[in-house]
Amino acid sequence: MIVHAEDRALVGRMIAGDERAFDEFFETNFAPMFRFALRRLDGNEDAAEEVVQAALSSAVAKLKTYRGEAALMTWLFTFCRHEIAAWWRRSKREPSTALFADDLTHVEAVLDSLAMSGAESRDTSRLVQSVLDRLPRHYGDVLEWKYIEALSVNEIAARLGIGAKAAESLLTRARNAFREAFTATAEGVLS
Amino acid sequence: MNDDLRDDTVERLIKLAGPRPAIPADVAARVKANVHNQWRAEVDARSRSRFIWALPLAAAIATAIILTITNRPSAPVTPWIIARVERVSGAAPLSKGQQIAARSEVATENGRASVRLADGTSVRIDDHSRVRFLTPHRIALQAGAVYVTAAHSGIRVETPYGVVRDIGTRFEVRLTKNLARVRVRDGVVIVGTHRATRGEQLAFQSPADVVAEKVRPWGFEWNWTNDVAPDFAIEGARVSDFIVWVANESGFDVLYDSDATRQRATRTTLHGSIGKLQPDVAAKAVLPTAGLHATIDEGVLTVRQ
Repeated sequence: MIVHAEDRALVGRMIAGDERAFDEFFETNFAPMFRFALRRLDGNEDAAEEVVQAALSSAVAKLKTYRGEAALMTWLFTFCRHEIAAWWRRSKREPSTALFADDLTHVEAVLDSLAMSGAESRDTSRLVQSVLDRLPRHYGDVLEWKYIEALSVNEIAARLGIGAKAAESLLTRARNAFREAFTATAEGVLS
Repeated sequence: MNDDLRDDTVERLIKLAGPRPAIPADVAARVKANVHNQWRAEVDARSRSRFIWALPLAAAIATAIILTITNRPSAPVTPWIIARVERVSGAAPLSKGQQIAARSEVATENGRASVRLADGTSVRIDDHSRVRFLTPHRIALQAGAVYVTAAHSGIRVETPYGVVRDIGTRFEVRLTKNLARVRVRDGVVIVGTHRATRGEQLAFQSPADVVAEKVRPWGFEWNWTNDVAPDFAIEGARVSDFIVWVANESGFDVLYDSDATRQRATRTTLHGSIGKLQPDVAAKAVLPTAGLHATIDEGVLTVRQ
């Protein structure tokens, strides 16, 4: 069994009351969760806020049950899915019937084994954005900065407060992680 | 790994997808603050629990009394308390000081109540109303009416017909048989793309179907809110603060007839109690004790020496 040691350590620090661990937990997971919920709530921002807040609140109340057997983000998305379903029940409306690839168990399992997971639909843009959201911390950001904002390695380094070599290395790891996750996800969707 | 997915393909895919949608900063800040409160409460509860369990170890003597303590069942998961009942009138099935957990519903039946949210926002609930307190910044009005005095911007009142967002204000939201209506006493609220300020009302059946009208921010339509208004502690308070309270609670504009009158109100301290007097009545009763008097005409409270 893969144990997500970094995630487990982060949760351990949170259980101990470490404020910096809480900040890291929130900064890493909030935006991906919000976008995850937004896509499943027909773009309703109010609902997404409510759902993610409820999901995170439930999760922080159950941190002790997190064993690191799945990536922390995958674990959090479980709460999010539950809250999304509850929101649709409360609103007495039917959720849209779009297929979300990371709701498929086998895709989840493949991606989780890579310490990342995700992909939303056959739509490439969504797929890419979803994969970026599920990459380890900063990976998605540096890839966007590099390819969309066209920042240089030095500018990325400055933004992250690290050296140019470290930034270059981070970019390489991010690219590899994206390549691996995107391929696995696309295969999962198409299989 | 797929060897076909070269670096330039990665670049093309990411450019094609474009930037991921940004999350509004106020939403992130709000959620972070609320989740942080919940997390902190959990951490503190666990600390207390550990302390209780440590007691018998420290004592080292397993007396029957200590065994009783250690055999206590473990504490249940701490509910997320987001509000507290401040005042109750009539036969509302609530009690002063009652805690309200996130997502719980409050029904007033034949009474009224005022509730204080964790951030200081006050929510007064009219009779025969039902309100679900979702988070410290979000309530869902399911029947009846609420009057909100927001401690800061960002409070949302959800109705079956749309969401009322406030930008630092006092307002009433009321449900009728087939629409929702928000009346603004002070500040700004937003429904869909429509804004309303002091003395305006928005009636809506959906965020896209909104009708704006002028309303008086004072008068008998607002009187129910005084029924469960927070007390004003008059003892030791300055007259000017008392006048601000009267203005807030009545919806009146305040006019001093001179700078000298304003200064007198600022310098003079009050003593005693106003009991349950309505704000306009209290003003007429209290100000003469400070050498001032008040006249009220068309929503304007004029203070004279």
